[in-house]
This record gives sequence, C-alpha cells and structure tokens, in this order.
Amino acid sequence: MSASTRKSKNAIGFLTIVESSEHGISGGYLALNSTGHPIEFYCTAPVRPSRTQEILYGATLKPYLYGEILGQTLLSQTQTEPLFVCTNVVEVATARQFVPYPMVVLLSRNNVESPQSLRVDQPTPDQPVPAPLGMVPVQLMNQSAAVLADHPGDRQLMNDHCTDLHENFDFHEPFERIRDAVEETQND
Amino acid sequence: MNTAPSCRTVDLDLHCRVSTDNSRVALVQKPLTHLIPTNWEFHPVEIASLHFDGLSVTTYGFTFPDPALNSDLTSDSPPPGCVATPPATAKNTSLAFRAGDRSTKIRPPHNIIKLEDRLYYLLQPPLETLLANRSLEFPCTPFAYQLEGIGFLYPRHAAMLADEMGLGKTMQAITTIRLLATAGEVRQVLIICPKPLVTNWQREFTRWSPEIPLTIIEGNLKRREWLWNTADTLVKLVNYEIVMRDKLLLKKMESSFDLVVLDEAQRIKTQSSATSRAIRSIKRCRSWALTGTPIENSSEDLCSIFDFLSPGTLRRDWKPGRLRQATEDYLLRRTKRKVLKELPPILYRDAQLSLTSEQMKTYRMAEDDGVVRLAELGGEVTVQHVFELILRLKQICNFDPSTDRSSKFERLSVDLEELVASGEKAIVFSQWVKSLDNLKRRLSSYCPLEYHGRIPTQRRDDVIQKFRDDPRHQVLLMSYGAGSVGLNLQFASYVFLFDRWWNPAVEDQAISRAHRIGAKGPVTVTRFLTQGTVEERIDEVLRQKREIFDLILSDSETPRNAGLSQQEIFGLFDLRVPTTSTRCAA
Repeated sequence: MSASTRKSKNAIGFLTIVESSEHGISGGYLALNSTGHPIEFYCTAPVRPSRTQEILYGATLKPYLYGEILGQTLLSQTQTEPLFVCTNVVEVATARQFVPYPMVVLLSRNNVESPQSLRVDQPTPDQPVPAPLGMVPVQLMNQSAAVLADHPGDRQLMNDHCTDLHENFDFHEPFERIRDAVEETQND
Repeated sequence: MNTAPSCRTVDLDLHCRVSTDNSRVALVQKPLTHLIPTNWEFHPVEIASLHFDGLSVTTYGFTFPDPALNSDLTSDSPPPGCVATPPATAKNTSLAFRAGDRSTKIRPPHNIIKLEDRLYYLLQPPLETLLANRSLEFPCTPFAYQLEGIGFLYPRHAAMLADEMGLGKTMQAITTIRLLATAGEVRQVLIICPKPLVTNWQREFTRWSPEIPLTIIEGNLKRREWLWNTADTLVKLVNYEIVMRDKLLLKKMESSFDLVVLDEAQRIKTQSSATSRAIRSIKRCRSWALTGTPIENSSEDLCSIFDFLSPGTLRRDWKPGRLRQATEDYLLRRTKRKVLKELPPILYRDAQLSLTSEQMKTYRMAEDDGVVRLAELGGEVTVQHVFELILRLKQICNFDPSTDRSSKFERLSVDLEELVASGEKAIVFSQWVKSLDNLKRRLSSYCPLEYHGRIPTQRRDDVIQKFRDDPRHQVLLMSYGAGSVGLNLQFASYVFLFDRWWNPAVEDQAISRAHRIGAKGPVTVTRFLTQGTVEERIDEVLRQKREIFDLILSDSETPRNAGLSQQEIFGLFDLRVPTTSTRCAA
C-alpha cells in the first residue's frame, strides 16, 4: 500500500484477472463503497509469461503470477484500505500474504472444480461448493466463499464486515465492471 | 567397461549358436567377442544458467471524486433545488429498485476520448443499483428498454431519443434528469416543448419525479424575466413560442444551462427558422432532443436538429448511409414492434370510398377549373398555387360545399354506431377545424368532444379528462395540429383519419395517442381515402416519404428513391415544374 493510504469505513476491494489471447494477462482492482459506488480503480498492463517461466514454475505459475505479481502490485497502489478484498480467481488469494486485510474467494463450481482457473460468471448454484485445498469456507451474505486457512482470523473479520452491507449486494457484478474497464484500456 | 560421462555405441560382432525348444532359448556356445580399444574424448561440461527476476508490471489507475463531496447517489440529502421524499414504505404503492435487480450498464458514448472519462462511466454500478441506492420510487416498473434509454441519455452531452411515439420518451428523460440531479451533474435544466404539452410535462414530473419542483416560464414579460433570472428550481419548463419571444432575455443570461431538452424536436427542423436560431443560441452544456419523428420530410430535418445537438457533426450533402453511420452513437430509436411485443397490435383498415355523385360533380369542376388556372399562370405558377388547389379538393373530398354530402361521413357514422354501442371510444382526426365542426353537428347524439386550435389551452386538460372518465363522451374530434403529440389517450381503441395529413410521421403521431403503453386491446385505425381523387395521389407520395424515414432510421439497407420533390407536387396534376418556381417545403 502507498504511504498515503487512508482507511475507509466501508470500502470493499474486488480483484480479478482478465486473460486475453490477444493481449495477455492483466490484473484489475476496483474499490467500491457499500452501495456499489466506485472509489478507485487500478489495472495492470498485460503480461505474458515466457515458455521458460511456464516450465520452471509449473503448477505454481498461476498463484505466483496472479497473486504475487499482479495482485500484490495492484494492492500496493490502493489509496483507500478496504475492509476486505474479494476475488473470483482462487490463485489470486496468494496476495493475502502481502496485505493486512482479509481476502475472500467467491466460490462456484467453475473456479473450484475445474482444473483451469475460471472466473465466477454465474451466481453459485444451490448446492454448497466445497472450499479448495488450504482454504476454509465462509458465508459472504448469501454467497459461498472461502478464506486462506493460514489466516484463520479472516473468517471472523469477514462476518463482522458483512453486517453493514445491503442484503442484495451483488458480489459478482463488480468483476464485470473490471473486465469491461480492463478491455477498454487494452483497446485504447 | 569404464564408466564415462557420455556413451558411444560399439558394434560387437558376436558369433554364437543358440538352441531352442519353442519355449526356452539357450546359448549352445559362448559368444566370441572381439574388443576394439577406443579413445574416449572428454568435452568440457557447459552449464545453462537461467536468471528469473520476475515480470515487470506497469499499472494504470485513478481514484474517483469523493462521493461525500459530490452529492453522490449514496447521500441521503436531496439534490439542490429538490425536496426530500419520504422513503418507500410497505404502505406506499410506488415501486423502488433493489440492488441486484436486472443489470443495465451505462456505456460511454464514442465521442468521449479521454480514457479516464470513459472508465468513469464503465465503472459505475448498473442503473438498477443507482436507482436503488437513492431509493428512487416509481409509480410502476419501467420497461427494460426504458432503462436502456436512461442508460443511453445519462452519459451523453448530445443525444437524440427518437423512440416511436408511446414508448415513454418523457419518462425516460425525466428519470435521467432525476439521476443526474442526484449525482450533482445538473443543477439548471431547461425543457422546451410545444405549448399544449406543458401541462403534460408537469403531470409526468409529478408522477415520475415528485421531488423535483418545476418552474413554468409564463405570464407577462416582467414576470418571465423574473422567472428566467431568479427562479431557483432545478427544472424550468417553457414552450417554443416563449423561447422565441424571450430570445433576448435568454441571450443576456450570464449562466448557462447544464442541460437543454427539446421535446418534439422536429419543431426546429428548418435550420433557418427564427425558432431554430433562438434555440441554438441558448447557452448550454448538454443538449438532448426528444422526437418520434426526427425525419418528417427529408434528411435535412435530421441535420437541422443536429445543428442544435452537435453542430458540425452532419453535412447536408451526405447520403443516407453516411448520415446513418454518423448519427449512430447519438441517436437511439426503438419501435413498439421491437420492444413492446406485449403491446396490442394496430389493425389498419384502408377505407377506399367513392365520392357521392354530388361530391364527384363538384370535385371534377373544381379540379378541372383549378388545373386550367394553374396552366394559365404558366411560368408564374408556384408550389403555393398548387397547394391551394390541393387543399380545396381535399375539403371537397370531406364534404361537398354545395350539398354537404359526404361519403366519408356516411361510412364514419356506420362505424361509430357500432363501436359506440359496444362501449368503445374513438378519436376522429382531421386537418380542418371546419370539417370537425361539421362532424360535431352531425354526431351530436354521441356528445362528441373537441380538441383543436380553437379550444383554449386551459380547457384542453378538461376535455381529455372528460373523454377518459365520462362514459357519455365516446367520440373525440381532434385536429392533427393540436392533438397529434404528447397526449395519452390509450383508453380509445378506434382511430379514424378522416382526411390524410401531408406527412406520414404526423399520422403516426396521431395514431400513437391511442396505441401506447396502457392500451388494453388492439387499436383499429381506419384511413379514409376517396378513389380517383388527389387523396389517392397524395397517398402514393406519403408512401415514398415513409421510405426515407426507413432508410435512415431502420435496419433496411436497400437504397430507395426518397424525398418529396417539386416534380411530385406538380405531378399530382400532371404539371411541369416551371424554372422560376421556389423550393417545396411540404
């Protein structure tokens, strides 16, 4: 986080990854207030790991690239410290080790059961989704979610912070905004 | 054999005998081996070193204005000039959006160049969330296309909402103004509309945005001057005629309007008209035009409206395809057929009638005489002369001036008898008050109501209310001029076009008074047309005009012959256009 970071009573961060076969992989971060109004936005220029990096990092490439490189870089830019950060990409949660606030992964069949890291494009189906390995489940309003098991305190913090939110707060919609905005910057 | 850092293949020439019993193999004789000494060459080992310093990432971003400082949508206080409305309660019948309802995105227009400005709009929450955050109430749930219209207007500084009549352009404009006001983006809004629609706007504001007070600019000059300069309400409402009269006052105003909305914007279709010039001179930041008929006669109409919206965007010599491309991002048009699939259909009936023998006799005399006179004028003949003849002939098609016979009335009375008996309501349109007077006299048993230029403005709302609420009044006689725009008469299921207007768009407007949101059943439109008369020839010209409209504003790409030329006007009587004749402006 930058030196001038200010605390906000109600900011929620949304962090996601936008992949494009044409441009590469970009990260996007959007901070909203509790009514969905934007506070700040950051995105990265697209990166593309080399073949060597893909081989050497193997299965750890995505957690490294999404969380440590893109996620950490974006979260270091924020001027408003969020109550917590939501992501719809499991591997982004590795950025949690660099920030003092909780990170929560929205769960869906897509991003948990698929071998690929897919975005959460649809609301969670009725059946609860199991938390991925190394994570513990939490309930984010009516949404299945998980936090890293290494940060057990995050679960309680999440529950505390959600009490101020509108019951119909849509945790999926902001990722669409980020995607649109990132694509706009790439086409600029 | 010594071990070595690398191996080579050595061919061993083995000579031996093998015995087998089909399941086992055994050497009968030890193989003879010949060892050939080899010199191994040791190469120095090279190590490939890969340094991985990670990926360098550049970021782009910005912060949004502090909502607390910007009268943001999350704020509980009403915008400047607005009165607070009580929050929605269970008892309240009005509706409020909830976050998470449908998702209508606000997309920035293409003419916003700066990336940061474009992202500002892209990163806003969906319209439904914006509406939910302010607990904005609605008397009924807006249609999805109406929310799209609001999302279209919201980010645009120059926009034309050209929805077909009856789709709720007024509501969309009012709700967008409401949103912009709550976001602190507009503080001074001017709405200009035709005089008969002032009360309609007032009513719609009360319905859709009760917290925003209106100032109606009216009264004598002194009062108007005071209202222009000192009235501290968010929205000022004025008619076109007063804008004309007060153009100097408007010029002198130091502040500019944040938004000027032109209702029935086709009123400025003539670029050189005084009204058009007066309106273009109003200082403003945003300009919106509302019209169901952006093209009444030719593409020139559209260019003139764009001279107000975004000067220089269109050129008059452009072909329809180019105009369409250039206006795409500024113009939103939806038709009922596309967006209101649940709206009942319009059933057209073309009543092709023969004139009564008395009418035909009078008509023939008038036409022959008129054509002879036009021919006698030779090179001096103008479009005006031709129009005069057309109007005279059309009046005869309505009623024979010498015998008062009318084949149209005979048909109308039969139709009315039937529908009145079944409790239905009907609107009869004519372009002449004289024809309406005649109809009123003949239809007195139905207690018909009148709505035309001779009915004082202050009485017109009463007429509409009586027609809607009083079952004794089942017929409304309307002139195209007074009744074709802005009125909601969806409780009438029959429309009669007693005579035809010059312009198909005006006819559509008239029909849309009844065929609009709220219509309970099909609307039957009867178009009277007398055979073998100028009406039939005009009908053909009207059809061609409709094609121009379709070419620029619909999905049709087929190039067609467009426009109402002088040749066509003169051609109604097989006359040739004289070289001195002026340009037609039908």
